[in-house]
Amino acid sequence: MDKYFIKKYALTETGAKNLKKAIFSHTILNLTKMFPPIIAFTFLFQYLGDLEGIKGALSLSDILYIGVILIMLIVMYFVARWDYVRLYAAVYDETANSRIDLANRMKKLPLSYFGKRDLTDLATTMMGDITIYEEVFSHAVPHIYSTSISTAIIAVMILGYNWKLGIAALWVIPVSLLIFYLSKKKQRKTIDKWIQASRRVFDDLQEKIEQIEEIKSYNLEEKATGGFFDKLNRATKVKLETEFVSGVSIAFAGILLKLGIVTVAIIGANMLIAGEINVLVYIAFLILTASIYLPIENILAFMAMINLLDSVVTRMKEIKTMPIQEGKSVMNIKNYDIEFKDVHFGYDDYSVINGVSFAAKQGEVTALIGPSGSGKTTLTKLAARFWDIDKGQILLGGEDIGKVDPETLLKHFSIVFQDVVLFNTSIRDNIRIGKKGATDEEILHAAKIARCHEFIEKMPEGIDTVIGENGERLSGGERQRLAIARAILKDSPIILMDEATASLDVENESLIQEALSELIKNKTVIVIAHRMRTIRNADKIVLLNQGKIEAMGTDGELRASSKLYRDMIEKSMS
Amino acid sequence: MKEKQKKKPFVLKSLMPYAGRKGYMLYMAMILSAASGIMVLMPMVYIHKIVKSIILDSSGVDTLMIKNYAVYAAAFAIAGLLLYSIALIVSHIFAFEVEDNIIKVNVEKLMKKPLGYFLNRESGKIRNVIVDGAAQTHSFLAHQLPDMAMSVISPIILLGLFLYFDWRLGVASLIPLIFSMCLMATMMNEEVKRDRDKYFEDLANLSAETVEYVRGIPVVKTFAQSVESFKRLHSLIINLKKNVLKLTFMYKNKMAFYEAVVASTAFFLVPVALFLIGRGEDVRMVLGNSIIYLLLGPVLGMFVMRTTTITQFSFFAVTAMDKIDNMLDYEELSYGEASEVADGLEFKNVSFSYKDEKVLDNISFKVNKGETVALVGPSGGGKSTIARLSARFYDADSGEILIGKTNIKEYDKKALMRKIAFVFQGSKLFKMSLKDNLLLGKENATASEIEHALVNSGSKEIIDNLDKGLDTVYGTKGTYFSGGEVQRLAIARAFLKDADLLILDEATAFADPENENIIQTSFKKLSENKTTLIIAHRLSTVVDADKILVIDDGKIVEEGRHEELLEKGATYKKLWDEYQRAVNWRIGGQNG
Repeated sequence: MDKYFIKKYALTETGAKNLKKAIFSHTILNLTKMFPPIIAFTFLFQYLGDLEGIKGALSLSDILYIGVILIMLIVMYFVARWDYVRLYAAVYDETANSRIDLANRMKKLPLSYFGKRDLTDLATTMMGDITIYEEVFSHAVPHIYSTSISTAIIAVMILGYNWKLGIAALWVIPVSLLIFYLSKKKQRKTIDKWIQASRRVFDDLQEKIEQIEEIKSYNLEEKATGGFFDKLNRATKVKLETEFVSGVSIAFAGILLKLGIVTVAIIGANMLIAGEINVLVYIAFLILTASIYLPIENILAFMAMINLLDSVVTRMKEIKTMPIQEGKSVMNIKNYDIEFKDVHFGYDDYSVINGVSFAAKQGEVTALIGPSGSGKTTLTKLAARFWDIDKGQILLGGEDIGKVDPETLLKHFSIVFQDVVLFNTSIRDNIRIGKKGATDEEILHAAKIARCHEFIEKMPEGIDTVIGENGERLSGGERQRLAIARAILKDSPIILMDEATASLDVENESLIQEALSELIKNKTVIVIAHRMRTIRNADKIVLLNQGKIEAMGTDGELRASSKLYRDMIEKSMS
Repeated sequence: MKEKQKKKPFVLKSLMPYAGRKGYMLYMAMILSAASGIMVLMPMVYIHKIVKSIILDSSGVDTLMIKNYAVYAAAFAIAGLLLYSIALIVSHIFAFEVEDNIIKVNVEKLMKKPLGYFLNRESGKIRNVIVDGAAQTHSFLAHQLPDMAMSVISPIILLGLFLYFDWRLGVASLIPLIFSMCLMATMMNEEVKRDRDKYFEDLANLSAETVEYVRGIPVVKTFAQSVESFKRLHSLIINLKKNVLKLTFMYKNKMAFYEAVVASTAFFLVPVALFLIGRGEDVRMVLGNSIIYLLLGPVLGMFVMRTTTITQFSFFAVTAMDKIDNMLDYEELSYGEASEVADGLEFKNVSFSYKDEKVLDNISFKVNKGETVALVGPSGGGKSTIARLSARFYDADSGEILIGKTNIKEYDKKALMRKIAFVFQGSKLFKMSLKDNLLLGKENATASEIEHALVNSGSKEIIDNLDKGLDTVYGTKGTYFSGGEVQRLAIARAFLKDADLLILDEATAFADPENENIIQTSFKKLSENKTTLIIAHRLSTVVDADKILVIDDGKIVEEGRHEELLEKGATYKKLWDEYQRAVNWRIGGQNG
């Protein structure tokens, strides 16, 4: 049962347990709601029984009635309170747990996921989605299950009391549920179409906003809005169709339920004439038909609500099936050489790295160079397990990095790429991220080596200046130097860097260059190089072309052996 | 009181204009829904009739009559449901119309915003505010309003029925309803509203914190500090839970009482009925009337329940609409009629501020026809703002920007855009064939013109490497273009546009360091014989410029030709020396 809930609604384990508890208490609450009808029937039976001369009816005094009613009211009140507390405690527990679970999962995703903007998008929608969850789980789901259970209990009692009339009253319930169930398949299809159409509207609008400069510059405003409106109109059509299908199936199932009144009235009347039942039973069943279908109608309405939840659950499942990376948290490293052994790697629909083997030795600078799209960046990121490779092996000091927990692995790496992530705290705290518990002296020292002090001195509060959301108060080059300061503080034995980071701030390019030179002293360095002149002194140059190694060696060796290398140098000179 | 009303106008007033000619559908839906509300009460009346005939009529059971009543009861119930379904279909058509029109009207408004508007706004956020905001009105219009019509009409009729049969029993069975309404009223006070607002605020905080968390994961992961950032989010989530639980548990007594009472008609009816019987009234009459109340009581409670959600949903709709209005509250540009766009560009005492910070301070310069003027200087100095003002991303706060002798504001929008071509960072291509993308520059370009543009922009080899060449559709699966390749194709498009005034940002080249030289060369070709304003980053490109403007801190600090400025030995000289130093950097070897 737990597993069913976890799978069906993408719940956590405690969530499934709590849901079960909530269903239990809700069922009890539903059963206490039988108290008023019980009083009503007792009263009617007692007095009608007297009138019609039917024996066997319960006979209570007025005082007893009032006493029982009071007790019942009190019991109902306490059961309702108990249920309310349990239900909401469970619901909010679950939403909190889902959120924490989600945050946990995000943490374990491969680093490569984080370059994409849609991940943040997904994360926020998810946090919001969980609020929708809240609505549905506080109302729909417990209601559906508990009402089904309590209705089943009542149905058994009714059938036991008089099976013939019972069937006359209850036959409509399974039939209408069946109709609803059958239509659900059709509904699911239209809902899928709905989601797709909505997504198209969403994507198209976002695209238009992103292309706004082009749209205005080429006077395409009308064409652009026209195209968008078409998509919108199409989506609306699909939505209407969906609403229509689900509306009709609920209405149809509801209409069917109402036929129960007719069968009870007619069959009951015949039985009454035939003397099979007395007036009391007949009246009891008639009154029953007025209220017994109401909970079922509610179930149908809630089921439709749950259909809408499907998309939320799907997104939830999507994130739960993203590949998370784990591994052992102790590494047994002989040295800091990185070795690629026949590495193959591809994105969803095309291969990027096709069998690459080389070693980046400790204390050496290894430069990766090649035309754009040749796989330089990908290869560098693979060394830090941004992705897991499809074939081959990447070894760090003899250990297969694919078997190591990324966080353990990354302890040995400093990564200096173009995208620097900064936090809305002081410069000091932003640098401190490099090393937990670093002293102020260490931070200042790192800032100095990274050539940060120039701009730090200009800030109003020096190193304690808060730099705004994602460091918006800093220029590209300043961000870059701050990131280098972090790396210097971290002092890890392996450096992965992108040469282009230096050119983010032309005015201070040489400062960043100096900082980078400081950083890489005596480390294992893999650098993605773009400018031929920069790498002339590298210990090893790996020339990549279309995901394969074209040539490898020092500048002098490559000039002698590789035509592509010579071509590239020539081009860069022009 | 009046002021408050002004602030929050009745939701419908702000939504109805979006319905256009379909406004009547809302009223139709509400009338249908109200009618169905009456219909669904009728079965109770017929069942009561059957029961009453059995109790009161001692002459035996009339099966034919019972049969008829039963059929009537079912017929009314079915008719009621059908009417309700129709009402919902109508209300959905109406609600979708409103939703669509909200999106359409606001997207049109959005498209009219000056380009400057988009610079500091995230596309995803704009999209969400409009599309999600429009969707927020849906539930209110499609469900809540028709339900409200039913919830208002049916109880009135019910109330009539309650008093019609036996008012004493009727009043008794109204007690639960009165109780629950009083409870609801006490729960809807100011304090609750405050708490609810606080809850939504907390949710918004959570969402902001999540973005920060996810964005920071790569960093904290590489520095082995994921636990810390996780802790922060964790405590926020736990706090949210605690607060919302506290809020929820505040109502536990009231809600429990409500649950116990709302459908318990019998608890109040039976004692009164007992009292009436005790007083010696006709037992059959009392029992007969009791039955109708037992049937109708719970129904009334159901209607009351429905009205409780309406304020919540109208609140959602209002907030969403406010959000859209706030976001789009930004002045649009007004355009003139002038369509003959002259040559040359001039800034006369132009100042511009962004968010109270002065970005440009009294800038004046002139680009003569056919000249190339380069802007250099530190980032944040104001170069980009000058370029953007020249393309009318926004208007200057003071001073004049002239094209030819005419103020840029006097030109017709289309004419102006035809005249200007700009290539900034992050150019975009449309999701259509590369050929169609290029043809945007010039609708009827010949094959040789296209070829020419491709060669000059250095895009030829990109096209040659594609199986389908120019017919490749941009953005489809399996086709991948690097940032630099997109830029080169965008430059090809600009070549075809053949505009007289060019505004270029050289940083474009950095998207593709391998091909920096190609892009720089193509910029040079593009600007031949054109009036050109270029933001330069690599000083190698400005050597040949007709004029160099050194911009710092919103002012022109130096201006002149390359040699003149070097001779002067001031700011430009420093930049030049820095550039020379940077060019000679080597990674590794004796440096590393």
